[in-house]
Amino acid sequence: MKGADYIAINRITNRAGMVLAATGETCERVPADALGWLLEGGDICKAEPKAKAPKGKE
Amino acid sequence: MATAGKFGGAGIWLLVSGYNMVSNKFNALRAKVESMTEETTGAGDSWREVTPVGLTSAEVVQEGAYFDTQTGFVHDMQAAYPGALTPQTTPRVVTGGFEGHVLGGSFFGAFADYNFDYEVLSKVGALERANLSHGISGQFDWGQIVALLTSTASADVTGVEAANSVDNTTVPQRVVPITSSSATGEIITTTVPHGLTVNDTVLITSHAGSTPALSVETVSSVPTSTTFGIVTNITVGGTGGTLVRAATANGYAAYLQWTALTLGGHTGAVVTVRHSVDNSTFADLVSFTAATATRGGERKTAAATVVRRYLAHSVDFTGAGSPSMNYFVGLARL
Repeated sequence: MKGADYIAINRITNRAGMVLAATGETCERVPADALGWLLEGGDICKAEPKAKAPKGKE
Repeated sequence: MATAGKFGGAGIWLLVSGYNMVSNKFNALRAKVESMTEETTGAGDSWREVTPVGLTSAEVVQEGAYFDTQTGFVHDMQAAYPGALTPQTTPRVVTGGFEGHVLGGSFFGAFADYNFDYEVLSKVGALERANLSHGISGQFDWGQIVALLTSTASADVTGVEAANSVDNTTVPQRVVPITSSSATGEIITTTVPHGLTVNDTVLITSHAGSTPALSVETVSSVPTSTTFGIVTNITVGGTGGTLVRAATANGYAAYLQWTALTLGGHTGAVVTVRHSVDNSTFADLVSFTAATATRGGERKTAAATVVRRYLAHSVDFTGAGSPSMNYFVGLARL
């Protein structure tokens, strides 16, 4: 699991209260081993895949 | 701010909407929860009989107390709220405790205190005392202290203060003895009713002989009051050991009291309870309404919500300035 593939539904912090991902942000700074239980608990969700630009307009 | 009786039990404290209600000296503080019953004794009965009516009530009473006029104490509250002794339209949040202020220690909380009785006890040749009773409406909760009332925030709370987490497996709670675990159906059998619900997490210790070794396990089923299933695939059953609850799935009642707040240019202070599986990464569980008044209290609840094993808090001031806030945070697992 890669943090960049997930978006925070609830704010994610480290133990000292530093924000790892604010609501709506992607989770690059969230430790990978926490992504599983955060996803299961509904605190993060899978980011929508970016729509590919139509051919010929890239 | 002092939170306990000056000469009374050092471990006793009582707050109502940010006011310190404990007197300097008192005879007793009583927090009583009662299952209401009705007498159903009939002709021919040889023993008195009562039957539960299905209601529970609670009361908090301070007996034989000497009160004074310190700022933030009971007489200050009466002065601040004319008619404080009459029923209030706005409920007041009550929290208190008998074990002092210890992180993870127990506290009681209630919503709401609509009125209180202040009964002056005066007689010739004796000092004047008073009894103070709080009329509790609704549920009475017992929970754990997440932030001590001595907590003072002069900026957003991060670092050491925020890192003071509470591990639910180490707070006072019932320890349930385990009889055995079974490789058939991943069932754990306990010697007494375990009180667990699906999605609770338990910490199992000293359980011998099982493969794999059992530790932190998620409850997947509850066939009976003394058996429960776990997610882990047990290939060889074991015996003995004990369990305590780590995470709970029945929701919560969270309490905030603040006894002093100076925003110093900020527009509000948001206190949040955070929870975690690993005590390293936390997610916000519940945020209280931004505090703006000098003092106050709030209770927030949710049903059927998982509360993870570790709890911590944070304070975030909105805007800019030089703030200061004295506050208490507690959470009861339902």
